[in-house]
Amino acid sequence: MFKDISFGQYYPSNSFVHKLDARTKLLLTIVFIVALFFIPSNVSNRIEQAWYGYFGYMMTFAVLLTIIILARVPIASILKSIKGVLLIIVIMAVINLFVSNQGEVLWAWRRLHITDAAIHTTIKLILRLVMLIIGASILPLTTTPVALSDGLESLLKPLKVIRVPVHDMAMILSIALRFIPTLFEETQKIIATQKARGASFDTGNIFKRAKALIPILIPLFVSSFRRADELAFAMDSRCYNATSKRTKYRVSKMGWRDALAFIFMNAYLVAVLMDRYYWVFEMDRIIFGGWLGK
Amino acid sequence: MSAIEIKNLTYTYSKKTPFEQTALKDVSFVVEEGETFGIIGETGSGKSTLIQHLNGLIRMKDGEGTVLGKDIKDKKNLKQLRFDVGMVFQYPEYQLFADTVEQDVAFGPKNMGLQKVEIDRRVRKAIELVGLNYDRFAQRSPFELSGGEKRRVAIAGVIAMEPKILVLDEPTAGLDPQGREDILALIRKLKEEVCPTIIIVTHNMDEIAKEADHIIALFKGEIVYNGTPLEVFSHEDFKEKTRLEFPTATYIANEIRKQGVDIKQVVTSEELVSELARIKEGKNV
Repeated sequence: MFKDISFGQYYPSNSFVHKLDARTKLLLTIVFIVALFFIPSNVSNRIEQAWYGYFGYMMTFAVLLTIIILARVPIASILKSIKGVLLIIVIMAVINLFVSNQGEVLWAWRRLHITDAAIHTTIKLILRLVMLIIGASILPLTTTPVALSDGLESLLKPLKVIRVPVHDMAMILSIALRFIPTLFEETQKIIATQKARGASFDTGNIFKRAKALIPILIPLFVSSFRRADELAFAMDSRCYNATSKRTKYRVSKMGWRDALAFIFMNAYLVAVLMDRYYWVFEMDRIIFGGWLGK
Repeated sequence: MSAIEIKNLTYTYSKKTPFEQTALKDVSFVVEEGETFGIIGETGSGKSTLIQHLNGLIRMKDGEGTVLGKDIKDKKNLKQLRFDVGMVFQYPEYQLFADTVEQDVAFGPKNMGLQKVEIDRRVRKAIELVGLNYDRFAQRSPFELSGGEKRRVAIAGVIAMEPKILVLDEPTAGLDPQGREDILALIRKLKEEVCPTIIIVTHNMDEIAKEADHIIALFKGEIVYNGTPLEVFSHEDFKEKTRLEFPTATYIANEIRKQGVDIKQVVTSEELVSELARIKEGKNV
């Protein structure tokens, strides 16, 4: 039943990005997000031009395009991740459009007003959020959940010094990920049994619908606890011990691909920082100044 | 009138995706009223998909079908279909959720929109029918009962809807020999007292040979055999074509026949015993 449910977002492929180490991708995702937030989005005191920063977004777009082409994931699966937060983006954009006081007022009604600077910051805000989500979605699309939690464990290892139970946390994460499809299947079965007893989940008001979930949630909890119990038994009987030093079946190694990826992404970060602090707004002026600004 | 008629049913999971998989292929059969009907087949042969069509849990796409004369495909019949065809799934004890046995059994009748008096009557009757004492069990939590008792409560939950056809998916799975015998006895009792038309899905050939009047055997979504247990288990290529085992009695009789003894085809242990007795007497004479 429901064999077509794709677990998580992982899109299987053999691309350059898929072959990167999970740790590389985790770190570079952070690099990307940091870089993105260094692109100027507001009119600063130093630079009055509202279009300041567009060049940064252009670079980001080029970087994203390169990554997507290298990752060979379908555009549709990337757009799907935007769909989920589209409403939030729209709300933030609308609020942003009306609250900015800088710049020339273009339109006003009672206490509401829109300025030219507000339009620019809003466009930049939307660009930033959309690019942030696209960039962040590459990681789960190209990395299996198991590799992800392994990579996370490896990166957080230093925290062991201050007695953070890194291994335990990674184990919990792996188990949770492992059981999502199992519990999903279980849920489908329970829904079928309760439907066979005449339960309906899509009629009535919100309270009725919430109440209709009880006959599903309780059996689901009961079986989850039963499974947890059985799993604990199985781990115990194989002498699982989280405190001793464990070796890994799959030892992940970084290779030339990871080195290339690091160079590429850090070059992007440096370019963004240079754009912000040294080139001032030369590129922005060269490209956009002619037709956007004063 | 036949209880169930299915014609040319085909069902494909995840159509038009890379995960496409045919679960049922051109399946046709008739279940007569008052019949105990067996569906056998290895894991993944399409048994569960098939029975879920019978009460509309899976909507029929390709094919025709009627249950008690009503069209399965007609959306208006959907609700009535759920109540007409009572379905006891595999490990039904995992469906229990209410605080008390009484409330759990009442879940189905409540969904039918019955009056309180009628619900109470049905719940009491169903609990007693499955062999539990109403006064002792009604107010207990279903989670503190034994495995066999839980399964009885779950079956009562379906019986309380007073279905006209009862479908049981692996009703004896995971029970000890005594528990299995108890559940089979319960099914016989239900057949006699409340619901004469029963469909049993199983892997257990001994049980189905004994209980069923008619059997269909599925393999990879297709019906390979359709007939009485004696007919179905008489096929010499039964094992190869279904990847199932013969009933123990049939297996023993086949082995004896290989030794050159003239023994009739049997499917149950009772038949085997009387056949052996006949041969023994024949020899003595």
